[in-house]
Amino acid sequence: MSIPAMILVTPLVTAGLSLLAPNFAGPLTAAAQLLTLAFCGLLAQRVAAAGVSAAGWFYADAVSAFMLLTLSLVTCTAAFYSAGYLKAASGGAAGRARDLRRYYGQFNLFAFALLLTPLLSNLGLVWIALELTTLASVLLVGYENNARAVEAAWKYLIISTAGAVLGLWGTVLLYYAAAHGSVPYAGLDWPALSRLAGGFDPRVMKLVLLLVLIGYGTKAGLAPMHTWLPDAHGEAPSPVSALLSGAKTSVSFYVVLRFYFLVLATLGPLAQKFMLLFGLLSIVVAAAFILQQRDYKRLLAYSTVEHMGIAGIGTGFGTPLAIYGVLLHIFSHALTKSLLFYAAGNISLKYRTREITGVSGLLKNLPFTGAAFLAGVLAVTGLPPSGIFVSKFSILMAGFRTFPPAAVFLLVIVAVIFFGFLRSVNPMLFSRPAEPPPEAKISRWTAWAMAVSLIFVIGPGLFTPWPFARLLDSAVAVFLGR
Amino acid sequence: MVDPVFLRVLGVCGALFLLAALAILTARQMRGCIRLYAGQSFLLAVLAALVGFLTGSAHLYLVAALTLLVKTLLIPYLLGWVIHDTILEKREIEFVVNIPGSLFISGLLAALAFFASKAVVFPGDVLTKLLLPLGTAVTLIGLYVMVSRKEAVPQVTGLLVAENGVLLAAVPTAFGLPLIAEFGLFFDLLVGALLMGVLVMRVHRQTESTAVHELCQLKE
Repeated sequence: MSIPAMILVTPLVTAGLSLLAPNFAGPLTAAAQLLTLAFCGLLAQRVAAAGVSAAGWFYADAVSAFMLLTLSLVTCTAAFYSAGYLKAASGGAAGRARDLRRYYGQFNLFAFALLLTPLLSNLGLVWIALELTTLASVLLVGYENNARAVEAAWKYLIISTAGAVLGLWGTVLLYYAAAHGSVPYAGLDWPALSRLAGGFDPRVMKLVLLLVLIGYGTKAGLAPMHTWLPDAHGEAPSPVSALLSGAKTSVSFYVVLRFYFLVLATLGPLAQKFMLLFGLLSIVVAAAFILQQRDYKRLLAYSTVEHMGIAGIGTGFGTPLAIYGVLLHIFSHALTKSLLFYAAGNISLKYRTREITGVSGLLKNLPFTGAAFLAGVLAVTGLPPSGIFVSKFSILMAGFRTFPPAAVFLLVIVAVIFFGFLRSVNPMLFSRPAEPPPEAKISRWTAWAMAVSLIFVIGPGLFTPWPFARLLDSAVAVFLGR
Repeated sequence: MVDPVFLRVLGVCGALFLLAALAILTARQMRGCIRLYAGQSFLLAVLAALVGFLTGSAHLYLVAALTLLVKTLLIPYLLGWVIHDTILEKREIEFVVNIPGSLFISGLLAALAFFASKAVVFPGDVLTKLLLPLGTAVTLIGLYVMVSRKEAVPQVTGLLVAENGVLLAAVPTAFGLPLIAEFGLFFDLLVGALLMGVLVMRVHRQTESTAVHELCQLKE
């Protein structure tokens, strides 16, 4: 079997096994995700050597390989974290078989859909796979099955599906434009479209741009269509929040990028301005809500809106340095935000509240989780040494050369968000413990997940291993055609 | 060249398709919304089959068959099966905008759709010239139904109607998907509709109502 097939079969088989043997599903899923990660690494290596790896239905260029690495790292740590989290959430017992089946069955299906999306080159198939990521995760968001979780799941499904309808519409119009292009092409294969994109009709492509940015942007969490995101990320069990924030929004943004660069070839600066507009709006909305947030999981969720906005702004800047920054940003944000949600999960298990004011003395009560949370917060707000610092810096440098006012604005908003974050998080970490919080057994599995994430959060800020840097460079070349 | 009689038949079906969307906009009873949706999906299947006959595309026959199976039969049946009868028998009395107002707004949306589509249709493309504006109008009306209704079932129907509109717009372009992908597309649509039905029931169990516009525990 080819490597892409192996990447996809592993989670599918694990989903089936989880239904049969729910009590072993946790460790089994973790092992399977480790295997998937290894396959993704293998594929990345092959792509780095050969440029493109296409086999049957599957197609992987440098961007796909890069995304697969990002996604499989997050699903892998999330699987390890889940094993510990579910045990602790059910009070140390193994949990009911029915709940475990429900959880791990969908977890693995979700991982399957996430990994499927970057492996396809036909944009119609990409739509199907992306919609599958939503469908597989809806009931995970509503896992707790209380009023708040159901409300979050409902909004998530309805708003995401509306976005998907608009995305499908954009895809149909793109096909229409390609079929009547200067070199007619009847199909939706990305490499072919990318070659011909300069000759498409600009009037149709304007509509495509709008529909794609709104449609797929909904799933990526770009404002003003982000409204499902804080609800879903807040109410889902923490490992699912980590997957939504780290993997789901990343893969949706990846789809936005695929479409955006086709539109860019026809429309040029107009497309850049639209992208900048959505990005700037996202960071403004995020900043406004971060400053007044009382719930720490929703705080992290709005930070995701912010980072998708930054990635959008970087894409709008459009120089090779900016696109390099955007891709690195997607990677770093995925790892950092999942780390933060793991820590937040442990905090909510220990303190049994999601109110920021309900948490005190975190570093004393939960030393490792507290330290990881602190490191994650400093990284996510862009302090060195961290991957996000490097990527933000690249995006800003590119911005000062292309759209200086937007870059200055970005810098100001990032500073505001830094302030907002520290103001909220400082009392959680450093204040004196109010009263001894109830005993909660935090599993060692969660510590492993956080430790591994931490390496990848800080690592890219210190040095970039050359195979990784080369993969990133060829990914930039895929989009910019150099 | 396309036979003018044939075009007229297509036009009549298309007009009925648009009328069905307007009927859903004004239907008070939940079950009525779902039935109208089934009828509209049937028209979509007919339109796809007609265009398939005209262009000799086997692909579109498959689309027509899948529409008939999934959208006309399975989705309405499954929604009726998942959602409790007490919800489906209810009537929605209050809309966000009253019915005459809503009809006026959808008239504006349809006009917008016709002018916007006119700008992008390539000359000589008769089929697209006919179907793209209809699809666009129905999509916009479907999305409008979503925001103008307070109850869960009509909102879901609105979303499904918007989907129908996009599919109609895709018909003259024969989708551009590999053949097997059609199954994936309709599978997604089916599972999505089923999940919506399940969530409607869960919302009902939690809040004793399906007035989803009152769901507002989560904000900020």
